[in-house]
Amino acid sequence: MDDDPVREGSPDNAEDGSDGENTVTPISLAEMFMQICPAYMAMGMTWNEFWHSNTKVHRAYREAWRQRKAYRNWEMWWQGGYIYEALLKVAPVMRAAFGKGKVEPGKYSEEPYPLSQKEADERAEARRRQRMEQMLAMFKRESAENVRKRELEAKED
Amino acid sequence: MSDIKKINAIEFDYDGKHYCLEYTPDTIKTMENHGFNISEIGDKPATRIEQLWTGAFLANHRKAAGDGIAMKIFGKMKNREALLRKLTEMYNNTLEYLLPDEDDEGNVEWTTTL
Repeated sequence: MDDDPVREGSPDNAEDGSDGENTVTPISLAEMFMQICPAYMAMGMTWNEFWHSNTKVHRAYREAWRQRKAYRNWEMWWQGGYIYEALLKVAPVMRAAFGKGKVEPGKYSEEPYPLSQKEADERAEARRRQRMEQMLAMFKRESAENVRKRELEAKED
Repeated sequence: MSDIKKINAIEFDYDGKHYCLEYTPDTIKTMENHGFNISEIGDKPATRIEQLWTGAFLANHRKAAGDGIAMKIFGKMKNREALLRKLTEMYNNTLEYLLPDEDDEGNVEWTTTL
């Protein structure tokens, strides 16, 4: 984008006429701050907050933005559920009109999509734990059942 | 997202007053406008160390940075080598803490189909 204000403000496009006699900086942090400033403003920071705050404030804004994004993702997933349900409800009409035979609909995702690899890994771990707990519960049930059967058999003998 | 409580400041008491030294994007911009360049610390230690130290006062104690109190305090600080290392780290972290973490990257796989 040629009209991007960040690009216009970058060192390559400097038009201030300064020869940099006293301020030659191979990597100017100020320029880099200028480039990331719009991203923080998109997260809700004002210009003054961005420039005059310490890093704790920036990180709090980032965390708030991450939480908003996660909530939005959940909201979209929830809304998707209504859309999915609506589609299922009209499906019989569509089948009657065009289809042949009975087609089972696919299952809607049980949770919102993970937003990061870390979240995906955490969910995989949670699923693994849940499976382990289910297996353990099943094993306990079967063991209890076997004990009960043996006790009954012993009584019958 | 990594911990938002990451500390990027130096605190101490001097002459009955509490000081909290830190850098903000604005103070770093001001320092650069005055010719400060972190990579020149080794080449011009006298000037750059003074700028690095007084620059850390700009955010919360601007007056002390200007009237010589900052350098007076520097003369009384213990373990100055470690102090300068911490200041350099704080200066660099000011940008680093603002950049996206790996977790902020998208996670949606995509492919193209013909």
